Amino acid sequence: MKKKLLVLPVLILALVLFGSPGVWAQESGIIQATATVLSSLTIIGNHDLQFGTVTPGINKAVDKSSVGFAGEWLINGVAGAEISLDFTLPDSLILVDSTVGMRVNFSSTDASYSDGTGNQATPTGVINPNGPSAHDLGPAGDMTVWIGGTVYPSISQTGGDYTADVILTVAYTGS
Amino acid sequence: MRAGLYIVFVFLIIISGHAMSRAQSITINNDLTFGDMFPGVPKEVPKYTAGSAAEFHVSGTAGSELSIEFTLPTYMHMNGFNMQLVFPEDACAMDSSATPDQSSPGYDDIDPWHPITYRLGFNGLTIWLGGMVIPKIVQIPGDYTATIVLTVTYTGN
Repeated sequence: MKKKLLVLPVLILALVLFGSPGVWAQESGIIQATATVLSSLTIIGNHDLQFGTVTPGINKAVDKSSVGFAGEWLINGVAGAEISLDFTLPDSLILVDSTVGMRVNFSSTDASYSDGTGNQATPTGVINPNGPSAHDLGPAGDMTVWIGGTVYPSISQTGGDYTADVILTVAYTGS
Repeated sequence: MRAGLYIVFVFLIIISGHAMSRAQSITINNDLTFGDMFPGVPKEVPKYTAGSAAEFHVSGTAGSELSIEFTLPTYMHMNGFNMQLVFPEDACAMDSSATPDQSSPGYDDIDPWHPITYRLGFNGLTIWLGGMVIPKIVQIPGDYTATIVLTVTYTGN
């Protein structure tokens, strides 16, 4: 009788414990992947590069420090972040509604920038617009870029209004 | 009477062994932390980077074989916005030695997209997972999260 009393609970326990193998043997752990995305870069073309009236046969330069004539961009992003600056420069200005061109050139010192510690007359640094470069945004996350250039009208340059796009592309470098 | 006690004794031994097998558990030592990210600039957290890579510790019966399986997200989320999350096929590593070494794990370059079979060591098993986030150029700023689930199961081997 005592044997029976002992065997029965043993069998019940065995069924409970071994009846559904595999279920008890699983364990899960959950973690989070986390990331904080910082603010995007913004860039505004604030001022066109204006050569004004050009006389055929006479080259005309606009200096990057020339307020009201030099091209100007305003950039904003994460304070202190390094950004790349990449200019896409035209080799000619094109007469509106035609294919007539007028040569334009940008020298290795024709662009400059301020990170808030300089201004157009005394910029933070000089940029060669003919290749990519990298600079840090200022303490407020701002940067202003200026560009000058020189046009070379021919003696027989057709009269009229000439234009071309000057593009500045900026991107975070991640540094 | 003796026979009955014998059965109980044997059963207790079985239960005892069984209870030891059940003692597996997962401890979360570290989330997968990417930190600050610039829009348009992908960022990778290598599995070897202590404090940034995800780290799990599995404890249980030494020598037991485990099936280890991740449930991985493909995006992180914030207020309805998402950001692509990538786990390369070598993003996982583990170490069951007495002194797990994250910089030089015993079992490296494991594909976290498929079930992994490995044995617990005397000090359990430490598992690391790295990953990469690819924010868009105009990624909306803010804190993004995603859930990673690790499931371990005794294989019985």
